[in-house]
Amino acid sequence: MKGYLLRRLAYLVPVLVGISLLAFGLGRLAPGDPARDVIARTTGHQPTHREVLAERHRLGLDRGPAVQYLSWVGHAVRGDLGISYTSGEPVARAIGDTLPLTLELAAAAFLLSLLLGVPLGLLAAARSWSWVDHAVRTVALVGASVPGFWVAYLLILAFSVHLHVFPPFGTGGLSHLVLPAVTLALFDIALLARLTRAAVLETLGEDHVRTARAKGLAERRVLVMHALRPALIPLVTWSGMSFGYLLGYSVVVETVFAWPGLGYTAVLAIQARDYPFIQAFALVMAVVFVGLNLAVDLLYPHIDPRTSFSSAQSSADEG
Amino acid sequence: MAASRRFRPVVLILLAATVAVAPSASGARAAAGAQTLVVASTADGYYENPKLPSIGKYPTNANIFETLVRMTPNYAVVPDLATRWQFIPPNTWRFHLRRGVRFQNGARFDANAVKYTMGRLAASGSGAYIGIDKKAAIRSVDPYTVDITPSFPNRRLLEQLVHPENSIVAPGSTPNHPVGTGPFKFVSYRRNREIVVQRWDGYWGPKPRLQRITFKFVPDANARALALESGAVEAAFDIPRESAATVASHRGLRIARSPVGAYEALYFDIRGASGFDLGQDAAIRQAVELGIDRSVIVKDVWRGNASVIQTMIPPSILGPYAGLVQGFAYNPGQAGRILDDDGWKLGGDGIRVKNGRRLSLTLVVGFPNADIHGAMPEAVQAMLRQVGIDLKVVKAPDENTYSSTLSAGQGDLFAEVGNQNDANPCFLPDLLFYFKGTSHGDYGYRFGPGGAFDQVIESKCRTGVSEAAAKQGAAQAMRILVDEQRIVVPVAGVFRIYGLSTKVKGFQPNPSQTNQSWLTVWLAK
Repeated sequence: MKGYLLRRLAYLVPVLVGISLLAFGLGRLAPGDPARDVIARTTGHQPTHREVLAERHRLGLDRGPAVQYLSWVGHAVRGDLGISYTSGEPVARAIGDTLPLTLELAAAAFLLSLLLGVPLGLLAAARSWSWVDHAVRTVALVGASVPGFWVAYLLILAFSVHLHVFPPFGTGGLSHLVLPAVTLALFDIALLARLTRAAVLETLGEDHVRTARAKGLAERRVLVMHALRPALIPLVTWSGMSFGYLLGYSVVVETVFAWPGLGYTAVLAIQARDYPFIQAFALVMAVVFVGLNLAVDLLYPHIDPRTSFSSAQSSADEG
Repeated sequence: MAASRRFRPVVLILLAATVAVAPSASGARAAAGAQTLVVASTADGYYENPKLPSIGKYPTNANIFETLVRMTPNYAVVPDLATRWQFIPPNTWRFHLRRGVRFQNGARFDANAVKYTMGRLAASGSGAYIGIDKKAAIRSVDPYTVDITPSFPNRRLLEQLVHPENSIVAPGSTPNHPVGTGPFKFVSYRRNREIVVQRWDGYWGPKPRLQRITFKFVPDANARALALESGAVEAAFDIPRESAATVASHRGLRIARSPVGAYEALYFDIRGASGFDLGQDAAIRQAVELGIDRSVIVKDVWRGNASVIQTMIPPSILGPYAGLVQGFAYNPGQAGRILDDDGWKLGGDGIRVKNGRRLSLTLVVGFPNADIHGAMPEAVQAMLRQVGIDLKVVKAPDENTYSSTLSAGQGDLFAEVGNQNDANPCFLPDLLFYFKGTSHGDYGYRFGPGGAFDQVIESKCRTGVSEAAAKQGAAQAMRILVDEQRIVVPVAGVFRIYGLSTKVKGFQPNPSQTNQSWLTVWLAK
């Protein structure tokens, strides 16, 4: 396992180099000039062409792309991610302040989606083609279809404006987490319910489930131990991807709920062409995403003893 | 039934959890004190420049600081930390400072504080625009008199100093603990969350009635409106125009609209290259002007939260000279005749053609963002089609894309919503339309008529000492842009929309949000 882990961590190096090149290149391909934005932000007026040129020089944007990239990488490997154009604060500090908030929100939504999505899917599979199944699938379809910001407004209207149960925005405690986490989780709950239903229905038709039933096991035990457990592999795989999606999609939820996480800050950075922040954001997200998928791979043998790290490795290589 | 029994504990646990995590909002607010105001502000735009951070100053003005002179909601310059001033030719402004003023750290306010602030403005680069840079001379005449000589002849310095970016800061104050002379002193700041201030009992003027103000940064405009409706905040900036009527109809809430302080306007690129060169045709510019029914846009797009104006400058800032700009009225018939006379004949599809070229214009929308313009582009598109002009609408996803498109000249018309945040009547015409010395990427190159316009800017705005001269110059400049050259099509003069609890008293809505004062505000029981 140790060797496998080291190999997977070694893969991270080319991934990060690739991501850094992409983030660097795409940021600069986007139209616009951060120098103009910095002047407008710091002085409160639209800059002249001469002022923009001076600011570009100050920010080092008048150097060649290769020089800029190597300079940034050189500083980054020493832990210096630069100064944010939008806020003037060190990027490393900004990420350190905002990443935990986004992780908190994504984790809460992830937990909600597991707690609700899997049982709903299981229930629908156990009562397949009954009214319960139809109801779950309809709710899942709606949940996966409605836009997140619209759900957010509806939840604020219901639980903040009319019922006064939860605060409409901001951070500060568990109560502040509920509405953004539910909003973020809704899409995931819907997908997980449908995925669980499909996976469990598939295993319910297999021989070992028929055998378990023939042995007279209780239906609940058959469902959970003999149908759900083999179905866990695709669910766990999907969950790793899903957490990445939750981190990405948190942008919308963070903006509506004034949740000052990494996603919201990244949107501001993208709008302002805040290159240091955009590049650091891409790197951090890549590390988180790769780390999550590694954790998922490490889970496989525990869920299904038939898989081993060697087979996990070969499947990873194929993927 | 068995299934429902199985799920009953789960439902009960969820309900209990809901009650457990729900905040006792009313209790928390009651404990915070009766004169505690929570305001939903726009996104956190503070910049942590170590030489001169903008925390507490701009864009959200927490009233920690004051300027030498202040701007009223009617854009008049009145004394603040300076009680009087005089211009000493050729280029020096002498300010006589208010005595008996102390900073919130107990230090005395005097000429040294002004020198210190101007030095920080110069070092940070923020003052370069008004001539406060390393070449500027700041001299103490005596402890309460200071001379400021900008690095270039700047007769508009007085009107520019009202901007909160030019606030007086306490010498030696640290970047992240702002100290000023204002009615409220800094308590705490958390990026993208809130800034908290409390009453400064040593304030030199009338004491504020509010004990504490918390400005919460809520970037989403709809969320600000909902926060106000929920009672989580008592005041909210920039309520969306679509929500204003709903908020006003809500029991316990009201809407306060400022005088015109912002504008929506279209600018013609008069130096566009091939493909975007139709703005060079004066007849087309005039036809567009006459073909747009601005009253419809004000009523249906701005939902009545704006007025039809003849200049893009707030009319109150031009004073008696506002009448110099005649403007225009909706007249599609005349627009059609002008195009006919110019050789643009109606084609089979209703779009005019001249020498085989269709009369097709590109409107670029995106400053400060496309959303704020609402359905204006589509409304203008439909109106211009009636006079035989095809309008392509390009919506830039953000301000940077818009600026890039403008620099590259990839449009015939550019739509903007802008603000007037200082008292300089010439601010907008000088900044956006002065042609001399500009490069291809500049506003002045694309939109500046040059010639007589530049002369007015130079003779009245830049060298005219009196406020009246500047007002007259700005009005003459706008007359050239709107009446004579028809480069600018003012669409709407926009009101600031503040949402307030009816408990909030004494609030005077400022057309410049960043100059909003909270000194007179108090909460009724």
